[in-house]
Parts: sequence; structure tokens; C-alpha cells
Amino acid sequence: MESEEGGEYIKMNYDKKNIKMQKKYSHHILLLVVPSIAIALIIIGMVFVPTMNHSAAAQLSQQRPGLNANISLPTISEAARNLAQKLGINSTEVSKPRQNMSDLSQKLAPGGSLANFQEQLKGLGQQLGLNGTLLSQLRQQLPDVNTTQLAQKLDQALNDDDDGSI
Amino acid sequence: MKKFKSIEFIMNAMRVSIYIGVIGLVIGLGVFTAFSLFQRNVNAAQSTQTYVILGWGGKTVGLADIVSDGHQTTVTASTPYIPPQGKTFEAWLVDGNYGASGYPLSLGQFDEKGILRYKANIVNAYTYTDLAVTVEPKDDPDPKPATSNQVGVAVFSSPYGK
Repeated sequence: MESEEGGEYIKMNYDKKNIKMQKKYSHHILLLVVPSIAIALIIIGMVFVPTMNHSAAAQLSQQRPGLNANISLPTISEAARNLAQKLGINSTEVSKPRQNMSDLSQKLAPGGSLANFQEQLKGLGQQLGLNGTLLSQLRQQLPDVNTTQLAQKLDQALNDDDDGSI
Repeated sequence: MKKFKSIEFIMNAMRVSIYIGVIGLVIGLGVFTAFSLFQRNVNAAQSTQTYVILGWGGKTVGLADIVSDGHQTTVTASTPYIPPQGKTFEAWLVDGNYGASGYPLSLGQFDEKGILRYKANIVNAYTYTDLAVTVEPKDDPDPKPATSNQVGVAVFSSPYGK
């Protein structure tokens, strides 16, 4: 019993102390707690807001592919050149089809150097945020075009130039 | 007599050396002139190249033929594709080399037959590195390229990309 009373006494004593301390330091605690909460909120804001913005931007770019405001023609150009160099291609040059049609056919044939580069460009275009919808529209509108048709069309244009239409 | 002979010998030697000097000078001048003319011809030489315009969508967009001496430049390009409704294909020469200006020069739009013709006296055509084709709205009031609507690229080789 004594011990319990003593315990209660001690407890009451302690509580009294505690109340006194609370009274004495309550405004100090507020001074400590309020800035802490503010700092915590700032940290949470710093961590979460950019993430949320990023995911919102990602969502937007998913909804509206191709609307990449930061991309520029030179950036795309440099990316394409880098990719070409990785594949061991210096350029997309071919022999003049009028003189050597097989060079164009070989390079654009499946497994050919330019066909391979073009296949890789597709993935790079997606990474760079090029308008995939537009590209698919192009594909839907027209059937496959072969190299002979490509060469014939350029030849026709060059012949027109030679005739003095330029 | 011996003294005269030695003087004559010296005189002959001098004469020969003068002749050799003059002939050497003439040959040197000739070589120098020929080399400069050759160099000028090399610089003025026209490069004629054909490039494939590779499509970003996995299809070949067309071919481009470029003739240039570094200044007088003619670009003839063709595409078998037609742009989407209300759009047009526009070609650009891009200076996209490392640390380059990044300047895109519009070559104009492809006509309804899918042909582009461009001729100009460019200050330095060899600075350009690529030819890009974008899809632009018809009668586009914005002269800048619709970059994200790029459908094809032709990567140039030497002498371009200087």
C-alpha cells in the first residue's frame, strides 16, 4: 500500500512538475513545434511537388504525344547522328540511283545498313517525343513504297530540273 | 695562261649557277601557280550527292539530291507520301553538329506531287549537317519548324558538317 501511495505521490508529484513545466515552457514548445512542422511541410513539398509535376507532364505527353516543348531540330539531328555513328554509318548517302540502283536497294533492303538505322530511328523518335500519331497517320494513308518507286520519283524531278523547270 | 684559265673557269661556274638559279625560280613559280590553281579548282568543285531521307516511323520518307560548290546550291527532293489533311511537308537544312549554331534553314514546302526544289547562293552550304522533313500546317503563320512533327532525316557526309 505504501509503495502504491508512494508511487501515486511520486506520480502526482511528477504530474505537478510536468504541469508546471508545461505551463512554463508551453510557449517555448510552440516555438519549436511550429517551425518544425513548417520545415517538414517544406521538405515534403520539395520532394513531392516535382514528382507530381513530372508525372503530370508524363501523363500530358502520353495524352498528347509529340508535344515536347524542349526538343529542337538540332537536338534531334545530333541524336540521329550519334545513333548513326554507333551503328557505324557516317551518313544516309547512297550512289545516285540513276547510275547505281543496287546501292540504294542493298542499303534499304532488310538487314541493310540504312534499313537497320531506320529501324533504330523509330525507337529514338519515341524517346525524343516525336509525334507518333502523325507518323502512323502517314503509314495508314499510303501503301508500302519500294526503292524503285523512290528512285523513279527523284529521277523524274531531276529530269524536270534538267529541262529547265527550276 | 693558267691564271686566265682559272678566271674563265670561275666565270663559267658563275654563269651556270645563275642559269640554274633562274631556271629554278621559273620552275618554282610555275609549280606554285599550278598548285594554287589546282587548290582553287578543288574548292570550287561541285559535290553532287544523293541521300535517303529516313523516316522516324520506320519507313523511308524519300530521296534528296544535293548539288553544291559550297555556295551555289540546288536541292531536289522527292517523297512518295502525301501529308495528312490540312498539312504540308517542309524541308530544312539543319546545322546540328556538335557545338554548331543549330540554325534550321527552311527550303520550302514539297509541292502536291511530292517534289521539293530549292536553289540558292548560300554563304557556306557546307556548314549544314542534315536535311529534316517536318509536317507543318498549310499556310503556317509560324516560320519555325514544328520540331516534334519531324517525319524524316537525311544525315550528310563530307564536305558537309564543317
